[in-house]
Amino acid sequence: MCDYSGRLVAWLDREMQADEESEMERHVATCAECRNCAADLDRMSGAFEDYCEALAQTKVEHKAIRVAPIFWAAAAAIVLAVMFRYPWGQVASPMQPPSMTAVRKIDSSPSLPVEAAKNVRAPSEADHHAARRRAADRTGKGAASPGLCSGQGCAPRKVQGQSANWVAEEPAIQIAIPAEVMFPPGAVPEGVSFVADVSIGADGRVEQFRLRPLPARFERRTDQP
Amino acid sequence: MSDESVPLALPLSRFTTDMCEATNLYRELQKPLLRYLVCLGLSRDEAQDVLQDAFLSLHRHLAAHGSKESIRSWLYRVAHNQARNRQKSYGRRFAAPLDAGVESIADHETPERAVLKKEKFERLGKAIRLLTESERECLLLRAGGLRYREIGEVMGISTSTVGDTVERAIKKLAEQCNV
Repeated sequence: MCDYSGRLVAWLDREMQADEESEMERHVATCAECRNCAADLDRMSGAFEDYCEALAQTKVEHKAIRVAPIFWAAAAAIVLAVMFRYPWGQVASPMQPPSMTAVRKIDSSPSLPVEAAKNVRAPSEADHHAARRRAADRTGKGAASPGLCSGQGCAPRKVQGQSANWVAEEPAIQIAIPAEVMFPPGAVPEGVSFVADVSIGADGRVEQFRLRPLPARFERRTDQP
Repeated sequence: MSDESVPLALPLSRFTTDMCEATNLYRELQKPLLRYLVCLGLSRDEAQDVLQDAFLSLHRHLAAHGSKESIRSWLYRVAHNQARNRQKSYGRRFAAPLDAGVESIADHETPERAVLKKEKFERLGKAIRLLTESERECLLLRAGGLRYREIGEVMGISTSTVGDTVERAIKKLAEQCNV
């Protein structure tokens, strides 16, 4: 083996002093063995660098953004916002007519069919007077003031169809929900809609929720004078 | 110009010079340093974190009027130590990825060339497994473009030892791979 073969890598890497390097160059030019060996070592160095580069490329990691938690968090936030927006946003007294906000929301929804929109129950005079009657019953003034609804086509009487344990504190919100939205087509006779009565507690939570079927024809008759 | 403005002007010019130097170093060393860290065993994301921390340390070093001599080897040493600390904290074996082998070849290769290249890398991977840890690190730092003196500063050994180690490691690989 040639004496110069132990310094070939340093020569290839240009890590020698100037005089050593020129001496090495002269030797490699004349020694075929060192020339071949230097070529092999140079190839090996290149192969090692290629290997490192390929390894670095192999280890590229693609971090997928986890969409599911974000999606469910957004969905929960929307549901909570829809549930708690109306009670916090409105302060209604028993003597005020029910708010039209929720009804208008449903009415303006473009996804609802036309018939569904027709079946949405608008707050009528009867609702208004029923609310006033309930408030009067609670305060005990209903009997003392029988003329509360006089001249409006209604008498002070108990509302039919309400269970004994159901006492609506304040009819602040009435959400009319078309039956087509909740049930499959044909499951509910045409023209029937539902009214959800929601009672909100002092802490903002829903205390009672009642779904009441409401025939549309009955509504039309009561609305007429 | 008043006398008070001189002390303010000098640090500002020095700060600008330091920032230019750090920016040039980042452009020069970002890719090889990242490759070095990945080959040391870090994932790509971990290597990016270590790279950022290393250059942050460089900024602090320059801001504290630290020495600018051998700044490349200083940067490699900082990155090397941070990579070691991470691997210790995660309980992983150092330099494991060089054993792991290359799983995929670039897409632009033809299938025949890709197979040949993969076989070559497999042989090389087996040969690398036979190297000592210092031989591997010397070769990795050399592949990153460091001079023997700088490699010695990173590893804490003399320049002549680096030369011998590199020579020995390359010849071992050449023998094993029958190049």
